[in-house]
Amino acid sequence: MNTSNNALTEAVYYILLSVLKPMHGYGIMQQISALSGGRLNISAGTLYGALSSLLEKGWIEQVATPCDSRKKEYHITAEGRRLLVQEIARLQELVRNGETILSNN
Amino acid sequence: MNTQNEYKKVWNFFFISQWREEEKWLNDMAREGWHLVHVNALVRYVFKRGTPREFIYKPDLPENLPHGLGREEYYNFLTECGIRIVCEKKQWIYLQKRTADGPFDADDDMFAKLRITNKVYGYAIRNMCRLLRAFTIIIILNLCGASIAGATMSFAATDFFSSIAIGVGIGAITALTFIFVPIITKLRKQMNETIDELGVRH
Repeated sequence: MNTSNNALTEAVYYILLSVLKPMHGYGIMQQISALSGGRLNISAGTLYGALSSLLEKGWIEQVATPCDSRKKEYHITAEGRRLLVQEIARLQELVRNGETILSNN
Repeated sequence: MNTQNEYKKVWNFFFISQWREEEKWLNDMAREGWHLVHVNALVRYVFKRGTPREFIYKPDLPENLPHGLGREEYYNFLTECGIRIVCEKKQWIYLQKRTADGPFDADDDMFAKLRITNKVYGYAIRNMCRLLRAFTIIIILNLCGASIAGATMSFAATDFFSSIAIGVGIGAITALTFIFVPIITKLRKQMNETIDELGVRH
């Protein structure tokens, strides 16, 4: 999921974007679908695995839902936010290089 | 509806490595209006007559991650996503989802495919180890029995214990060669194919 150059998978990128505000699992799935215009639909199993590993890495944390203690919400940590900013810079570099080289050829 | 309480029992057997075939079969049944209600320990499936194509099904194994989210949380999470656990068979869980809510995984979701293949692979290996452990214990106990019997000069008992040990040993080798090795080889192949595809497009 995290290669040596710190590239994030599309799913992880959108998960991190979704949990900038605390959000529960199902909400994240819907948010990802909405953000990508319905292009990216991640399965419950994939989201579950990604959330588990992001929790372990400390990029997100679980927060208790005020109204229902069984329902868990996820929220980005400072470290997660830092990596998200770094990823956006990397993506900008990819696009910049692509456009420059394409327009010169 | 007058067909509400119509049930059908079907005997069918799938090896661990055939969970995709099992998934396809369950969905074929659902398309004809037979919806899964129960699976017993090995091979008996119970279906209930319902609306054709109303639900889709998927056999799954619960997440068993050493960190983060546990089994119970996985169940809660699935429920939250509109997925119902119809029944459990040993460690397998059978998931049900409304067809209208879309598929369990997108066809090109290689990460999801890798996760399930990996879970099935782990499950096959755990079962093989459990079986080998049981065989080893039986063999050791019988060899102990044979040597005790040998020490007390009761040769009939020695023969009895050693033939059990040999029989179980042959059984273990047979099970390993003809059941577990092919299953694990097939699962490894499936996993490698998925990993190759994941390298190209994730």
